[in-house]
Amino acid sequence: MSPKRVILHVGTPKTGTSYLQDVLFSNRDHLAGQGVLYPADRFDGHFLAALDLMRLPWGGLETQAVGAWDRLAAQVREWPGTAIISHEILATADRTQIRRALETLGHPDTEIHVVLSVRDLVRQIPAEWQENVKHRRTISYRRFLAQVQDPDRAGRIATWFWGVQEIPDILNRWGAELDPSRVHVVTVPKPGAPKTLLWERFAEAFDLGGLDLDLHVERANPSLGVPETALIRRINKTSNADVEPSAYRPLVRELLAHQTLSRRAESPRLALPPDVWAWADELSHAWVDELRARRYDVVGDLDDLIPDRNPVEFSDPDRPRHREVNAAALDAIHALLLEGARMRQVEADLRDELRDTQIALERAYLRPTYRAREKIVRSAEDKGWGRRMLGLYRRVRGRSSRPA
Amino acid sequence: MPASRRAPSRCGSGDGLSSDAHREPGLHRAWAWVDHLRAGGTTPWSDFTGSVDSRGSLLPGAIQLEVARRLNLVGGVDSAEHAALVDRVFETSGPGRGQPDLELVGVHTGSRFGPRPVDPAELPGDELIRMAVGLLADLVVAHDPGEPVVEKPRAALPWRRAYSLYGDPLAVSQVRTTLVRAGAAPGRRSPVAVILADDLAGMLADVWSWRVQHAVNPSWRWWLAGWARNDRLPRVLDLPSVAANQAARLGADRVHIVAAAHHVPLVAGLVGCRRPVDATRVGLSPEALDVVRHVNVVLRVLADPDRHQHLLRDVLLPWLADETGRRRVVPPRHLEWVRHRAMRMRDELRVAGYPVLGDLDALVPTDQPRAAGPTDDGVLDVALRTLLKVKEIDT
Repeated sequence: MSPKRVILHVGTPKTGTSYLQDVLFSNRDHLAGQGVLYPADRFDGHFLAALDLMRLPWGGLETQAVGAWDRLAAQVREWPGTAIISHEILATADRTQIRRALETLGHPDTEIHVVLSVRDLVRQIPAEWQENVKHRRTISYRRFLAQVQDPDRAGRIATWFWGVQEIPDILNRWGAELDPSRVHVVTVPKPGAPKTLLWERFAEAFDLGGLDLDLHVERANPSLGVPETALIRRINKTSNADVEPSAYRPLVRELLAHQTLSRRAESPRLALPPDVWAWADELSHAWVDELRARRYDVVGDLDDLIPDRNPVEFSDPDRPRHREVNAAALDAIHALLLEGARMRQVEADLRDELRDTQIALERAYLRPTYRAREKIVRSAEDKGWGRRMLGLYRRVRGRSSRPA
Repeated sequence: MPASRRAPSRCGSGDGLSSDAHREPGLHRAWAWVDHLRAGGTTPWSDFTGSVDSRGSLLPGAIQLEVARRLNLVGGVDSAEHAALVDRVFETSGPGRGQPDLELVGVHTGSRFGPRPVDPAELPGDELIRMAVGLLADLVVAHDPGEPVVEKPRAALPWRRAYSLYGDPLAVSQVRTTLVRAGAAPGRRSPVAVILADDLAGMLADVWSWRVQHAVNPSWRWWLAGWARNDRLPRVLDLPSVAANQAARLGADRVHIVAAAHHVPLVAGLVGCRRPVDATRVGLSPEALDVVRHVNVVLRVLADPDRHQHLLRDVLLPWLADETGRRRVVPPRHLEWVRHRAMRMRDELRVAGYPVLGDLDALVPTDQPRAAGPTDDGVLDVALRTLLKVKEIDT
């Protein structure tokens, strides 16, 4: 049995969090047998709890989040061993919300560890713009970069970006009430590292090293190339006014972005223009210097946060090659046609089912016994004693059969 | 404003400060400002010169501090109750997306990272509103009176006229309430359908207001642009369809169109109510409706839909009852569309030949005075007045 403690993984986005959460979710029964709780009913089950903690609107999903954090915290408090909570948007919580989170999880009586997985800024900045585009935004890459670089951080985009990406500040907020030895920084390996290395680091940070877990899960938050992201942005510009969020999510984000366009692996990848690269490089060095001085437990190497000296060649997503965007658009049309055909088939099947149901219902209405019963009820409803008898009958039967 | 509330505080021994005050003067000044605001003070941070012993580096955020100062400008007093309310402001998180914890300019708390320190007086109004509304939503939930007692509907009297009301939802609600209070609840005799119509621009503003008061939170401009773009009207305002449905049920001669700004006296006459009725039209001000919109965003995370509606109806809207004002005005770019739809509606109703009280031309909006929408300051003031009202209720 593992000791009573809580491991709180609070970000950052685009650091393999979906993969980690899917491994934890897929192995939750096995983990529970080893005294480790991952209390979720789906892989990203802590998303709603995070929305609730931070009172965050999220395209209507927040209505499902009412009371989710308190329920999660109650499960964690009742568990005698190790409990793991993981969601990347927790990175943006403010001090009051963090205090509430820690208190509801049992702080200071319970041993609480905060884990922050981190990746270099040069990869994080384009990834965040792409996430913005996949969440219906239409902002150009250049404007996004300008907002992120603006020292005032005035707009919503900059506020959110730095809220979930400024590593020293996130650790300041989440680690303010914890001993540095209980704050763990997991670095995402540089490109080209063995694929298992990130998991090995997570396993070390979460103390899951000795457990035999199934790591072959499908879940990932796949990235798009330059023409594919440009295409989604153009779709947003032309369709945002007419497509409801409830339709956008399955059709654009899931079907087009994740299931179709992310497979186009040969397209140029998003990168930073040289001037922004130099700025991000300087900032990364300042962060690493700060983190080294803070005596956190680092799993991996803080040098992973220093951008690669051989940056990816910059291809401007605001001026993509038309031929590449057209090719991506054809793939998108193909996927939408297949989905349209599938939905038409579903519609036809449902129509058939409805017709069969109507025929069965009409047959039931035509039965002499039904017509006789209907006549009795109608006649009774016209008379006072009849209504009283019907009321008595309905009470005895235990449910109301009165018309709505 | 009492003069003492403008005076910067200064306390302690000698020069009033412990030795580290000289090392971190900003922090000591900030804690003195916290005390000043708790005592109902209104001095802006940039003018404040007080100093007290530091109570650590975890100061309330700049947004919270400025909201407290603005609260004091609206109605701050030096009392324990007011200090408790200010403390709640300090402890409130801004809900949703917005600026994180911001530090005061001139105060060094030891971190080189995070957002830039700010002068609170320069914070944008929407951030102050977000914070004030976050606390207001908390108070709404805390004042939940529990499930309302459902009144058993009275039996309809056979000799009274049966009537049902349609059209402008705010007018329908007001007319129905007024008539029932005057003893003219719908009966069972010779039913009629009464359709309350007004100029279409005003009716659209009323439908939007109605929806905001029923837990929906689109902005007026966004909501209206959606209908205009699709060249459709909300179903409740498709009066020719509503009238045709009722005519199919009751007969065209029993469908009455009441086309006037003040419906109540005309409808009272129509349904046989002889007692005098109050015809004053009451609606929430645009600023108050914006507060409701912002609270709706937070309540969507704090309460399920049924409880949300219950909290609006039984807690927040009664608190805002005094915040009345004009309707929202249709922006000039949509006015032509509204006029076109109104004329089409007027002509269809005229051709159908229903009995009309008033003039169907009243449906077509005339040139509206250009009215600016609510300002951030106006919305914030409503939110702050409501917080102060809750304090009064609690004490």
